[in-house]
Amino acid sequence: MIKIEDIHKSFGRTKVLNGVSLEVKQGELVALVGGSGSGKSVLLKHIAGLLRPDSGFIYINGTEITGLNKRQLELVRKEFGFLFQGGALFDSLTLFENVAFPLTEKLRLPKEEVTQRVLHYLDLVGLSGSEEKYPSQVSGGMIKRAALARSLITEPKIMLFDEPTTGLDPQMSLSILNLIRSVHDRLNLTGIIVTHAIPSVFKFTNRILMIYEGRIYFDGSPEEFKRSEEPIIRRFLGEEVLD
Amino acid sequence: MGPIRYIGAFTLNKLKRLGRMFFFLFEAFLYSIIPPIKLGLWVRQIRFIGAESLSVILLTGTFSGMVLGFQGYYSLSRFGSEAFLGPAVGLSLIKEIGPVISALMVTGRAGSAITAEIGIMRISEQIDAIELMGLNPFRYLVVPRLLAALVSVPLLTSIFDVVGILGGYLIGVKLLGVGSGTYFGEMANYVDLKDVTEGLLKSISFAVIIVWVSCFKGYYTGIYTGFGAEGVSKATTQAVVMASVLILLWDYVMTSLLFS
Ligand SMILES: Nc1ncnc2c1ncn2[C@@H]1O[C@H](COP(=O)(O)OP(=O)(O)O)[C@@H](O)[C@H]1O
Ligand SMILES: [Mg+2]
Repeated sequence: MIKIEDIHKSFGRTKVLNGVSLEVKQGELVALVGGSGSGKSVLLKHIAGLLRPDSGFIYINGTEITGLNKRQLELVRKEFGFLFQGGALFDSLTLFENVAFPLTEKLRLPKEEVTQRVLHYLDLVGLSGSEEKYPSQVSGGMIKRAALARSLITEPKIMLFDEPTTGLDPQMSLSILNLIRSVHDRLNLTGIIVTHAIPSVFKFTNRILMIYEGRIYFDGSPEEFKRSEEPIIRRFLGEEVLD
Repeated sequence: MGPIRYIGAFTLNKLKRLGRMFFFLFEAFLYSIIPPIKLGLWVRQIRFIGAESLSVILLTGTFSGMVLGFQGYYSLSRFGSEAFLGPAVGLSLIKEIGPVISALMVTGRAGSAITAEIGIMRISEQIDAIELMGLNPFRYLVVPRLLAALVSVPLLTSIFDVVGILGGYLIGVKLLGVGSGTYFGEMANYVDLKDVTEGLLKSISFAVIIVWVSCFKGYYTGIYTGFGAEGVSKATTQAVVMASVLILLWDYVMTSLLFS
């Protein structure tokens, strides 16, 4: 469970989050949308404890995390999978080694088991055959998918996906959303997907959050979102349709 | 109130940054003595910082020794004491020129690359990714480089000294006619173990400075320099300038301490 109470965050003079509150229940998969630069990535990083809010509270499964030190945070982070907007794969490692990294370094699993799991997950994201390539040798979409495999392979309880489908062709984004959905259903994980894949995402979640001017501007079902008469939402949807 | 407040904020800011920098060094040492150490990464960094700096060190060492051969001969012959060319070249190299120039060369070659590499990892969120896996980035980024430099820089310095002494030999003995036995004999008479230790201590501390500054600047890329490629290039420049200045300042401090 993720619960956020009135967080504020500024970088220098730019106010990015201006009183965000929200709650995502155990097992819920929600989509977070909003214009570019509206603070979606910043919000996700707060939930993961990578950024600290100027004020406000964040609870992960009941534990308040904004006051925790590094060691205490580590315990909470065990539960997390995080997909960075840019993938954040390690340049010096192959795709295989990247996906294997959390298993070999953190969980210290035996070699055969690592190989088997990595190959399985690479297959799930459609990357069989590219195991030995380095991030610099593959496309942005492939980096995204390898990063998704890396974040799912530890079978986390809470998953934060920052734009898993951006940069993928429509068919690939559909299959990635399907994959996220099926992993979600299998592990009953709690998840937030930041996405621009509108309208396809409407089929994959039953709750949409929209961030606007540093607050949660909309919180409701995809149907309500689509039907909304709010000019700001209409304009946002219009933009997305034009895309 | 205005200017006083400004000066106050400025000072606090600088102090905070300085504190952060020393804490960084403290953590680097801390995780260097608490296992696990990533041996594979360590070996890789020895290769990068040490082995791949070898040609630069050989080249600059030889030429520095040759210059010392000329200059030393020129000065000493004024007092009719060319016989002491050996110790003059040897002592300058071992105590001063060897450690300092080697460290500056490693800074330019490896230090800048370290900052750029870690800086890119910072702005592309690879460091955040390590942290989010519940792993300690220092073990992957800083410790292997610190331990590698502690091995490589003193070794590179000794190689610099040796080829420098041979460069001095080439000029003094082969070109200017000092006796070969005199060159090495007097060197053996006048260069003590204490001088060698002094040079070694210097090169060890320079190794720490190089890795400390270049890792720190890379690690905090973005916070002080702005994000993006420009942030990385700024951080790299700052690292090279700062490490070079610190090496020369610290050289003075050590020389004056060891002198008394
Ligand atoms: N570490 C940072 N330092 C300064 N400004 C930042 C930082 N991270 C994000 N920002 C700013 O916060 C705003 C929101 O960014 P972001 O959350 O990445 O937007 P998006 O909704 O597109 O993901 C942007 O104006 C961005 O420039
Ligand atoms: Mg973003």
